Amino acid sequence: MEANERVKDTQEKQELWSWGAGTEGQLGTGKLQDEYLPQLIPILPSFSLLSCGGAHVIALTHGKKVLTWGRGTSGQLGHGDKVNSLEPKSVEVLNNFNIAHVSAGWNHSGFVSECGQLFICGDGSFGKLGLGDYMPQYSPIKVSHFASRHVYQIACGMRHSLALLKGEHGDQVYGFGSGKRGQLGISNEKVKSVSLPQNVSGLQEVNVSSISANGDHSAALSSDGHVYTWGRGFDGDPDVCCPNCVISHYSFKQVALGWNHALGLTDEGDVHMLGGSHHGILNNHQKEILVNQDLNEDKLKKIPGLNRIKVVGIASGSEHSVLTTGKALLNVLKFCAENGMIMTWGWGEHGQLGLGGTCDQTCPQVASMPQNDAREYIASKVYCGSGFTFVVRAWRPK
Amino acid sequence: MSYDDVEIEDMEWNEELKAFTYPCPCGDLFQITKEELKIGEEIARCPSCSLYITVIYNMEDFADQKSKTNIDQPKQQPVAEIVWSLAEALGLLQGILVAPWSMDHGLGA
Repeated sequence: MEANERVKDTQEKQELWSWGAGTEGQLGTGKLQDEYLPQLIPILPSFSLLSCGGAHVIALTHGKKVLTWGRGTSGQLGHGDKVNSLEPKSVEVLNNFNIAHVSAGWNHSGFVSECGQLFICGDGSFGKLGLGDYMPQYSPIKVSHFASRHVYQIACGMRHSLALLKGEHGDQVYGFGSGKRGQLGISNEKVKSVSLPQNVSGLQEVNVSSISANGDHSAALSSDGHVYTWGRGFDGDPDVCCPNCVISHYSFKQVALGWNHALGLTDEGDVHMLGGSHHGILNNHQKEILVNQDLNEDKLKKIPGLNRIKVVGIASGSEHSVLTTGKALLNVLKFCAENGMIMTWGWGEHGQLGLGGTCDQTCPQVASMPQNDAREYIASKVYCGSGFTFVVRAWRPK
Repeated sequence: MSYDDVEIEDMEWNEELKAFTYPCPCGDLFQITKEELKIGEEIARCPSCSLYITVIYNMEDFADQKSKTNIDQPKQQPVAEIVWSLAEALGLLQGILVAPWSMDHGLGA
C-alpha cells in the first residue's frame, strides 16, 4: 500500500473523501459504519500523501507532519497506546522530524524522514518491524539497523516490510518480516521470517524508483519503467522468491498491489493487471499478448472498458481497485472523462467501490463524486486500504 | 467459495478472541476456536463479512491434551514423556504446550 507522488502546488485546496469498510473508524468520518457512497471528511490540513492499511490510515501533511486514524489495537497509529481513533490525530513522537514518506500495512506502520531515518510502529510479529525482535511498538521507533544510511521509502505489507535505500552504492531494497511466500526476496529459497532487514537479491543493478508491498506480495518499479514482482504467485502460480521482471513492451509509471492482483499504469495511461481471479475478477477477453519471463504465457491483462480514457493514477485494496482519469484522448469523449473522474471495480461487499451498493464489479464503474459548482476540480489522487477507499481531490475557485 | 486455504501454522493465536485468526481482506479477522478444531471444523469465518477460509490442520493435534497425561497414562511411560509431564506440571513450558505452532513467530500463545 503505497503512493509516492508529491503535490507541487500548495495553493491548491483539497477535499478528502472516503467510503467502504468503516467499523474501525478508518474512514475518518467520526462514525463506526460502512459507507456505500463517497463521504466528505470535514476540514483538515492539506495532504501530500496518504497510505491506507488493513483498517488504519496514515496521512502526511504538506507541512511534513503525520496524522493517523482507524484501528490502533496493535499500536499501528503510533499514538503510544492500543486505542482506535475515529478522527485524524497527530503522531506527536514524529513532530520533531520532517516526514517525507509513509506506508500503512495490515497492522503496522512505517515513516521515513527527509534525512533518511526510518521509524516504525505497530504489531511486531514475524519480525516485520525490523527491530530484531517480535514485540509490538506503540510509538514510532527508529529502525537502528540502517544506522546513518539513507532510507528513501518504506512499504508495509501484511506480514512483511520493504525499505528502499539510496546512496553511493546505488539503490538497495531490504526486506524483513515473514518470507513464507517468498515476499522478502532475500534468498532463492523461502525464508520463514527475519526480524532484521536483509538485502533483496536480484535488484542490485536496477535503479529503483518505488517499492510496494501488500498482502504477501512485493513489487519494485525501476526508473526505466520495468515492474519487478516477488512473493505469492498470482492466479495460483508458484510463489516467487526473488524479484522477477514482468516482461512487457510497455513502460510503467505506477504499480499497485492487492492481495491477489497487481495493477500497472503505463506511460500512455493504460492499466494492466496481473492475477485478479479472486474478487478483482475481470473478463478475460481483450487480453494483451505480453509474455511473462518464467511461464511464457499471457499474464498481464489490459483492463477492459477503458478505451480512450487516460488513466493518471491507480490504487488497490485487498480485493478492489480504483483509478482516476485525466483528459479524454478524443474530444468527443470529454464529457464523460473529466479530469479526476474516479472508477472502481472488484469486491464490493463493504461499499468499497463507492457505487451506492455492495455488488462486485468485473469492469471499472464510475463512482460519482458530488461536485461543488463554485470549484474547479484539478486532479484527484486515489488510495485504498483493505476494504476501503480514499480520494484526495484538489480544487481551486472558479 | 472458500477465499483461501490456510495452514493452521500460518494462523495467529489471539488471546482476546480465544481463537486462531488470519487477516480477512475486509479488514477484520477470520476466526476459529480450539473447540471448533477439536470437532473437525475446518471453516474459519469472518464476523464482518461473507468470506471464509479453509483451515488445513491435523485433527489429532487438537485431541484433548488432558486425556493423554491424566487418564490414559500407560504404566511405563517413555522417558521423554515423563520429562514432558514433569515440565508441564512445573509450568515450565507454559504457552509452548498450548500451541506448538505459535513458536513459529516467536510469539507465545
